[in-house]
Amino acid sequence: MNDAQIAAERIDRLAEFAREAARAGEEERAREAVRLARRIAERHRCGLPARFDRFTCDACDAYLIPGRTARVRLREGSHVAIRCACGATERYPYGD
Amino acid sequence: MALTPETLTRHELRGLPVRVAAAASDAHVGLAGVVVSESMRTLTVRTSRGDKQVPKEGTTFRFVLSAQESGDGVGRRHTEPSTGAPRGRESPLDTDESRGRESPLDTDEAAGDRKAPGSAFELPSSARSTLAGARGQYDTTGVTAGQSDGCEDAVSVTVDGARLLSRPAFRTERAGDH
Ligand SMILES: [Zn+2]
Repeated sequence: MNDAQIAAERIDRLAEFAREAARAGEEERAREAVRLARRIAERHRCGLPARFDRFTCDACDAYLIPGRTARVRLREGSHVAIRCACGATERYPYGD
Repeated sequence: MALTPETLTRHELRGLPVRVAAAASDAHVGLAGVVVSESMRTLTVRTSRGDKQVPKEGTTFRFVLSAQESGDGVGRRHTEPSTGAPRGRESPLDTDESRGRESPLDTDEAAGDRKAPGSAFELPSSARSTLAGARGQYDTTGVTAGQSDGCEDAVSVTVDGARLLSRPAFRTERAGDH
């Protein structure tokens, strides 16, 4: 099995780990996993799954839980706005 | 493919049930739980008595891979929604209480809390053996009698911690180390 495949799987596992950690209230463990996943994606130049991108904060690396650590607002006709508990806002276009 | 005994040293360890089979410090021997963190020289294991940071160097770890993990990985995300979950304090990770006993089946209890119990089996190699040395013996996975939906077999993999010495982000790139 080549490195790229393992890297992609590690990222999937880390995303899952981060999600469970965040749900359990262990935000720093989740951040650690998110940061590692980002670093691996960078090292292997493989990018991150869209889902990972949407559910993590670009500013503080938190794994976001809508309604708990993130506010999600739909902007009519244009984008989704996600505000992390840290105050940073990200915007994602519809249909992306 | 996926997380197999062959790829384990280059794969993600967080979330895997682990038992410390041998260590330089007596305090670490027998610790069992789930890996929750990793640094260049240590692994942090969540045990029933708190998170323990164990040096990689000089330690022999026994990881438990479930059948899905060591299988081809198809449908992994559907069948194992809680893989990698750091456990709360209520977690039945009481393998710690079997401290001292060295049966590989103890490790199985760590896996058992994630899904139904399977059967971990002892690799017919010494605790110090490397993965490469034991390669080829993993196909004889212990199969649980009366296998059902929640029942699965598991493989325990013994790894010399020295082979994990690497920054976590670089570990996958260490293809040439064996
Ligand atoms: Zn944030």
